[in-house]
Amino acid sequence: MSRFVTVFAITLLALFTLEMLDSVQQAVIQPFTGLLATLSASMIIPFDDAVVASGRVIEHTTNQFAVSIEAGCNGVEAAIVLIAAVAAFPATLWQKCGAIVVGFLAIQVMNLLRIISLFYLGQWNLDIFTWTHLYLWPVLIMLDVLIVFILYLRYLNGVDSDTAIDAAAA
Amino acid sequence: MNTALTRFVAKLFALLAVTFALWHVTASVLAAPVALATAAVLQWWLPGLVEQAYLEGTNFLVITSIGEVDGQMMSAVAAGNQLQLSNETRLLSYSVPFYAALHFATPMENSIERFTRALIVLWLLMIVGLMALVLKDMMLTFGEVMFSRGTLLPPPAAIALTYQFSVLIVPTVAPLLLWAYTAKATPLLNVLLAAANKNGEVDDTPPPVNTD
Repeated sequence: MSRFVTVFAITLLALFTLEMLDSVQQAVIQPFTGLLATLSASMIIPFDDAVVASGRVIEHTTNQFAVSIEAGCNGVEAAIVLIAAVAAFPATLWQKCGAIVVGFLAIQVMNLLRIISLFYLGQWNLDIFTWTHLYLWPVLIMLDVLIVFILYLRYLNGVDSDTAIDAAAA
Repeated sequence: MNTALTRFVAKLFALLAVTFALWHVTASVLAAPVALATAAVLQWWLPGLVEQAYLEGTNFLVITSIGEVDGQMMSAVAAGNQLQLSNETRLLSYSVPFYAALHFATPMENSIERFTRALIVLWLLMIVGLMALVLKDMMLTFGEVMFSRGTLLPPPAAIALTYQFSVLIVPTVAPLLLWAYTAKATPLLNVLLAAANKNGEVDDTPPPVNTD
């Protein structure tokens, strides 16, 4: 347990510090965030053709409501937490890489849902938008990370884990 | 997902609705001990910058001894005005309803006592976070004046990093880690952590002591 906590904390701090570097923000984080905005808009447009995306901004052309996807809203921090947890847990390199790839995709699917839901919540009620954006969605994204990590542990634990967990929890 | 995990997740989501609703109406009470402690530390640490600090609703207000005239920062006495900084404590305190939902979704012995201990840890982390919020605001508002009037201030990069870490990582990760630690002896966590032993990790934590 102490080994896990130590490796987790060091990896988390190192990756988070790396993410905050200007050069990493310019070369990786901001282009990725722009891609998320484009992806979100491309998922909305088939259902709502009054939506346009420009850079990190998604705008509704009818009511001019727009959201800008900023650092902290791109799921990268959640991915860093997952990477740190997976890296800290003993497994083969392939198992770790697989967990990180699958986990990153799961986080980003959830994040796209967050962006789209916030885009429409903001057009409906700004107070609820702010509350959901700042307090509720960060928790839901982190729960996504927790569930992915628990499923990963179950996978590592072998095929008998379902029975064992059910028996233990009974 | 197996039935135990499904039950846990369903219970967790139901509790999240309850704990967040409770937090929404009690956020200022939850932030009060944090605000009191942070105000005391700031006034002791930075007497040349902080004149007064207190909680108003869920906003932590800092009345500074700096004023502004035509964009120039100077002492409040010379400027004839005082700049005030305001920070929303809910940016940090939503870790409490998150932890509460995780905690009460996991059956364990001495639940209330363990929850109280975890709450104290969350409060300590919130004090650090609130100080980071205030220092970041001061740095952006006062610039060099802050560093000339303050003592033992960390470098700007450290303030920025601590602020980002306190707002983006701590409120969601600290509850998860505290929950994993608090619930480590529960059946569900024990089985999940068995994967660690199977893969070479050694669980070196002592078993929990029943204080009943």
